[in-house]
Amino acid sequence: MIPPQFEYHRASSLEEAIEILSEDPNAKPLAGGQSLIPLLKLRAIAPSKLVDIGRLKELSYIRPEGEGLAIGALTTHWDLERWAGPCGVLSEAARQIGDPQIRAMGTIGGSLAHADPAADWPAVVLALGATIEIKGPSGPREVPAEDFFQGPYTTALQQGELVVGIRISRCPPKASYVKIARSHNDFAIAGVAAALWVKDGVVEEARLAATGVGLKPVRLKRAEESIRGRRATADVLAEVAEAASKEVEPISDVRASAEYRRAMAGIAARRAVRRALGL
Amino acid sequence: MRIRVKVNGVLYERDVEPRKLLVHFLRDDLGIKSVRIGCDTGNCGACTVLLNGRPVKSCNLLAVQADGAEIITADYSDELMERLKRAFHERHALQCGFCTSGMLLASYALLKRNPKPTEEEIREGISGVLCRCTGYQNIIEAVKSVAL
Repeated sequence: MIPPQFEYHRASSLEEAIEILSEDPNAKPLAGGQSLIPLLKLRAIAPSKLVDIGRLKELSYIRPEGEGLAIGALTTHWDLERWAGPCGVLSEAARQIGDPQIRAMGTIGGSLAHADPAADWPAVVLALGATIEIKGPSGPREVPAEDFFQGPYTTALQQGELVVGIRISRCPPKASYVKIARSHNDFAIAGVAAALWVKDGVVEEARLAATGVGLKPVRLKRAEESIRGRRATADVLAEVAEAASKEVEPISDVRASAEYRRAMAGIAARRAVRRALGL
Repeated sequence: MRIRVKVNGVLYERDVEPRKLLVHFLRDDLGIKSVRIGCDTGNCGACTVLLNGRPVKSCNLLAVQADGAEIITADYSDELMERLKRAFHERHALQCGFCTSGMLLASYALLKRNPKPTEEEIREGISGVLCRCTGYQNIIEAVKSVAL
């Protein structure tokens, strides 16, 4: 399959990319291309221009910052998979994305901007309480992950704006990402990321987020509530699973029925909490 | 657009249309037919090549994205690649052979980084290439035999 014709611009700076993108509403940024190129080949989209930002090396980094982390938008899943520092859940999640070939090209910023409702990173950045750093024609701005995802393939990005980084202010001491999928390299039927703060066996703070079980990634606030201030006993974990199943609003598609997704959201939530706590 | 790539150690400079996929550039412009077109949707991995040492699906990449890169295909020859090819032959790690280029390159990339992978790491390493003949067992055995 051959993509439709487009003008190709290799951006030599972020500013140049933003300028081209803000002048032409039909221009699209190209990062790793692992979502964009399949769409081009299917002719699902026909952009006038592709602005290749893939060579902007300054957007590829993982840097500890205080108690947290700053990640460049063009950091590949491959590099995140090999990250051995704080917020280790990033490595655990990266390993579960696609296959080695996809991970070698695909970027975290590209995945977030694409906002596939079953992608893995959105759940992880929600659970980590991350901020999405954006740059556009009117300058930089920051959007909390919770306000960034607005619907299927829809984000807070305005014309000409690019995701340039992800900022996590505080890495959770315990975290995990569990994905339930048809096969190893498929999209999630349900995926849940859990970030937990524990003191003397009591979960003081919990942030859970799910992907694949709705039109956009969501925080599992009732599931969080059911474990906050408690010990992770079998009964409490069962409550977490039940709350997660009840609060998601999944749809049926080729991968799974809504009913199955609802059940798997609960299972993934329970497993994510257990794995985070090493239970 | 004019691009330069080094494929298996040979430098090529060609004009390409920006929409040309890397797989078509390698097969049609450079005549390197060991790079297969399988599903053409980014799932099967038969088109896998190494781009600056990392495995990528050449049907999921524009040729212009590879400008300046070093590419390795299954035609490449060094000690590790030769040992892998021999092991695939001896362990009957192929039947129809269509996925073999991709399998060799995925395995080569894995062993370059991790000379002694566990069976799980081998399975993960080749997870981006589909084989419909062997059931994978002989492929895993072949990679294991080179890893030892």
